[in-house]
Amino acid sequence: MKMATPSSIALLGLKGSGKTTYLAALWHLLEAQELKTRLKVRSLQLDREYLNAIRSAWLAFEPVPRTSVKIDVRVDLLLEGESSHDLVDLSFPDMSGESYRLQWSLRRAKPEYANLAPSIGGVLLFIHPEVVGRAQRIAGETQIVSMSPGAVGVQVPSAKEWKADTAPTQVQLVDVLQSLVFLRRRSEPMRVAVMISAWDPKSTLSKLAPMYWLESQMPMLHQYLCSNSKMLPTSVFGISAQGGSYDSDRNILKKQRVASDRIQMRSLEGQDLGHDLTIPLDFVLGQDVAPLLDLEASEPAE
Amino acid sequence: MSPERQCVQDQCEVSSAGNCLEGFLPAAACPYRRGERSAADPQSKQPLFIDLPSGLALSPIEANNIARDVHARVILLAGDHESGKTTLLTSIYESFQEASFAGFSFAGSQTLLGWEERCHDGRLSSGRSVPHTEHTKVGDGLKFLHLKLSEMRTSNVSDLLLADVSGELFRRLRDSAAAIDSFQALRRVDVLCAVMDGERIVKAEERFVARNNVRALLRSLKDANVLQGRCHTSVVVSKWDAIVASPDVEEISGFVQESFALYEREFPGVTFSSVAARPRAKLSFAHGVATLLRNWCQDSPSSPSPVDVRSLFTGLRHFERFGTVGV
Repeated sequence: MKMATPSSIALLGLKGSGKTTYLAALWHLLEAQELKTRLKVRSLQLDREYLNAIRSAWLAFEPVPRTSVKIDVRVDLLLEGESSHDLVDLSFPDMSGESYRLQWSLRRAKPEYANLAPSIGGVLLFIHPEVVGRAQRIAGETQIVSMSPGAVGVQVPSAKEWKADTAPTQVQLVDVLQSLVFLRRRSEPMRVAVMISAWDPKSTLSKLAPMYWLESQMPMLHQYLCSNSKMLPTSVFGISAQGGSYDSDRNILKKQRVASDRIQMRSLEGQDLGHDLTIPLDFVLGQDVAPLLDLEASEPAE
Repeated sequence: MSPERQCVQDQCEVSSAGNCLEGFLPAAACPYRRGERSAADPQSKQPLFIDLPSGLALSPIEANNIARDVHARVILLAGDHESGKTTLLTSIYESFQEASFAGFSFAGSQTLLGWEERCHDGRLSSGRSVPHTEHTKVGDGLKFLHLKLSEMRTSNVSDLLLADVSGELFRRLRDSAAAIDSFQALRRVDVLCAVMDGERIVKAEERFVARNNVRALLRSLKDANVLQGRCHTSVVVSKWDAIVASPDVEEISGFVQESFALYEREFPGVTFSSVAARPRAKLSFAHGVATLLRNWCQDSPSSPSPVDVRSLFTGLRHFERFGTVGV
């Protein structure tokens, strides 16, 4: 059995993207050991209050509490590979989505995050399909208007001032990754697992392979990841940590005898990966358990 | 008089009631507090936040640092006031938001906020019903936007630094050797793109001025001998949709043909393009821009000589297929 290799995995994603829900479900999966997983927890984190609180909300079919920008939540787990028995001392800083918004709009990073960045070996990048902001161009006649004093021309009624928050989600996520690369200051590759949340079996999403969703719904982010595949080898997962909507599927979810069975996952190409939320972790830790995203492989779905 | 807002979050009452929405105590520690960049904790003296690169358009010094490190190509657009320079640039960025473009994939940018700011008035989020582009102000100084592109065929990466010169600076460069001499960025330019406004070409009383303004700029730069040997010069007719839609197509065709011939005689090696970055009708968004971008990324772009503009007016279907001169 090898000595534990310390590694940090960053959970990245904007507000409401599903990071904390994933963490809650993952903690239950690891701690309850209801199912076989690729990674298992070797010893419990000393302070488990936060993990147990979010896990309880998850078990009770309640939305997990929002991570405040004030609270610096950090999860430390000693994990063991199921087959290899290799140990990994895994650390997750659970940055709030607001913290990433802060980075984008105010260009400020929390010192804790900046200090941890050089040790980050991989990234789980969360996206919630229902919380994606898009750029929508105005169709119609172009009107170029001079705004300089004394200019003669068509006067345009006052419009909304630009705010960084209006930027499309895909642009903000590219910036999140670029900022991490900047803070990390390392040349070694950093694996990225794109986690598309709310990938519920009954939703129309599940009829599409996750990689096609990313390509069609976030084309700039898709291009960025493919173009930087040497530095950021990437795979894509469709994740349902809740197992469905708490509003419409609660009664069905309650009938599950094993809570971990709620969890659903799809691979980049849409294959059923079962309930094991440690697969994306295993991928970012360097195991070849998932195919890589690549421009040539991705084609628009019919 | 209401207290100046101390917090960027609209719903925070720290300015009026002293209570930080995020619960920071003291409130000065809150990351949403205006100003006070890189403030330090008074007890530990450790910085409260780490500054990230601004993400806004780059100053010439910042652009020079990138150009030096990654051998970036510097593209400068110059043209009359409101000739469509900034719109042309933003159409490139907006195209990458939708898909790979011109045979390239988006590989990153150090000026994402700069791009977003310039695109804002062309989007629904601006609250406008008609797209608008705020003109480049001379008081802002020369600013560069950055794009890193990966060529899909070869995976080669290109860094582009793109700047549009304000109409006022364009006039100064055209009219004054001293202005050229003091404009240091010219010495590092890889592609000089002189933009001729299609909407002015359509108007008989303005087209000759528009043509001559471009010619005068190219002549001034040639006389001053400031452009480096490998710098490529191109002339781009913007707002091509205005020309397509004009009832005087024959007359305009002849004028454009003559203009290109004049430029070719006086400035051998110059190439020509026509674009409609944000057309009104008939043409698709960023019409002709893909070819222009490909040319910018080539070491020795070219267009056939002599240039035949007639092909652009033989019918819309033909025109849409051959949207730029010389391709």
